[in-house]
Amino acid sequence: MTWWCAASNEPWSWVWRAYPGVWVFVALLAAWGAAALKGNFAREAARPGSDAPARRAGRVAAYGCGVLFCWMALDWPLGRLGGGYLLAAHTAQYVLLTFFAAPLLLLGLRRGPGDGAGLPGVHPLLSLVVYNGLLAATHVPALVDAMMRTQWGSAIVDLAWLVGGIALWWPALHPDPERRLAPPLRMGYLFASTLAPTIPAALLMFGDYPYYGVYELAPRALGLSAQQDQQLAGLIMKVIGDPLIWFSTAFIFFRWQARLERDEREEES
Amino acid sequence: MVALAIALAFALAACACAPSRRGPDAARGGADSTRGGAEPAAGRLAGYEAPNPKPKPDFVLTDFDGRRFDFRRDTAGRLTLLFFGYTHCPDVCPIHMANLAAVLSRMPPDEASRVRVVFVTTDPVRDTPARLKDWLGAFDPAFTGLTGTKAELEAALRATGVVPTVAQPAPGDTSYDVGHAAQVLAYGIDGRLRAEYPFGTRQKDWVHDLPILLARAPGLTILGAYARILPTHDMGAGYFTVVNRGASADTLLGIRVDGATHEQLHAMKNAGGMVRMVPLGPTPLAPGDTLRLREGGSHFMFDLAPNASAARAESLTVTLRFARAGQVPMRVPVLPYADPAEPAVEARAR
Repeated sequence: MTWWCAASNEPWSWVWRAYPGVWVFVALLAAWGAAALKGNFAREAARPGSDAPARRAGRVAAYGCGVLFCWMALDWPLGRLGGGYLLAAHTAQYVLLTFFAAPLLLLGLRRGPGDGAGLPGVHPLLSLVVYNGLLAATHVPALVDAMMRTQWGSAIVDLAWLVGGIALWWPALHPDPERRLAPPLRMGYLFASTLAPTIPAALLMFGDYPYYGVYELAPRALGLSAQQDQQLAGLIMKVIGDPLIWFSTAFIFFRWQARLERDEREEES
Repeated sequence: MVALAIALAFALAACACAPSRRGPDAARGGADSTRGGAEPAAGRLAGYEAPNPKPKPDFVLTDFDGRRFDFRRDTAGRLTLLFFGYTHCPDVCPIHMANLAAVLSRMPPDEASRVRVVFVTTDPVRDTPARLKDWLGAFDPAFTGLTGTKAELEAALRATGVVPTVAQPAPGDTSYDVGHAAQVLAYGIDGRLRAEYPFGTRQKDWVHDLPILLARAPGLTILGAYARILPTHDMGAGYFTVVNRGASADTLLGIRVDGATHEQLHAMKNAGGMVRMVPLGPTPLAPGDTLRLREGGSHFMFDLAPNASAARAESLTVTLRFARAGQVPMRVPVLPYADPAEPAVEARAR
């Protein structure tokens, strides 16, 4: 029994494998989130005139989806494929944890106005440094080759991506909406976050030879050669990760515009 | 800054990572697959160099087209990569074959054509000639698959000096594993074992080693090759040193530069106080002789089409033609034209 997905050197098989460490992590994440949501809802209920109760279902759904994406990324089959067979699956894990799970968890933990006491605010530059630093470290071939061979190493890489994702999205989706970056800054920040990952993505897509021994020397899975796998990984990093950021940026822009127009109409009336 | 850090990290790591997986096949009797350490020194191999190069084994098997294949005779004069494996192998065999195919497909065709990959089955019951052909063809149709009777295969293993295969399938079991040696054996064009490549050998290792192995002509060592191309990008000159460390004499007959429209070996001749450039004819190299082409002296010159990609390449593929050793290709780095100093280029080929 292995508790977390890591390189095993066994031939790939679609036979289901249990990873209890992943289940424990996901259960803890869900339990912690449930407690946090309960606390948030209780504080809001105590505040007269709050419109927050109407948004409770949305927040529960967002947090639940965030937990679900974590589970999908870490457990069989994607976790196993990414742990020791395909770099493309490993990159899909990165995308799910960083661009899906992390923002949804933060959206779910949204608090009511003025209820952000005790939550740290993080300077966007620091967020970018943390996110890009983790991104760089978890894509260095020698480090990946060393880490992915052990369950601990593999778990650390997976969790680093979740932490990196939370660091990335924190200034844009701070649980206290009043402490989020202003919309224009938020858009600029999100655009800036897409720049650095272009480098590893391009290296993966256009590299002459596989960078990662752990995937190059793994038993082949899903009919992909090591080179095709690496190119697909680069493609996933940019083709899924970037459009999601652009979509978020566009969403912020249109909401911001709508609010400006509403404010103008209110002033005129 | 962050982008730079990522690029730097990639660049460093791409140079530093070493293969270190141990496959189940290796554990069942193959060579040690854990490889450590940094990049090999210039001119050295990433594979394990054979300290006492054994001659190519002498065995005859049947290829996947049903023809008798005399290993020693039918691979003569080519760099031969020999591997014992089986097509139902879940890990080591397909990975070795896939990595070799990927590297050969990116080598210059004239170099790749001088490499022969021979796969000998260790599972003649399941590996029918048709299956061998299909399986190897999926990697590279130029790969050769050999099979034979149990006795013939055991004789081939003994002649090669690798561990015998281990397979104990239960009656009716068709999904059994076969324990076998996990290393690829590289026989140089002189017919001697030059290096072994255990499981864990990366594509970058093959990319590094194959040109070196190809350039190791019998007894000849080629050192310090480099070239310079004029800023007009239409012609250039190159230099190298050949040492005959073999026991037999050889003769340098000519040279070919890939991408060049014309190339020639030149010597400098002093006639009446005037130094003139004259074609360098066939140049004998007795055992122990050294032929040195250097700036200001003998050299090779080449013309390039004005828009040839070779004119802006970082290296050229240059093939020396010897009377005995045949064609010896080598990679020749192109150095900046303006750099007046003769560079301390490490051996590019041995």
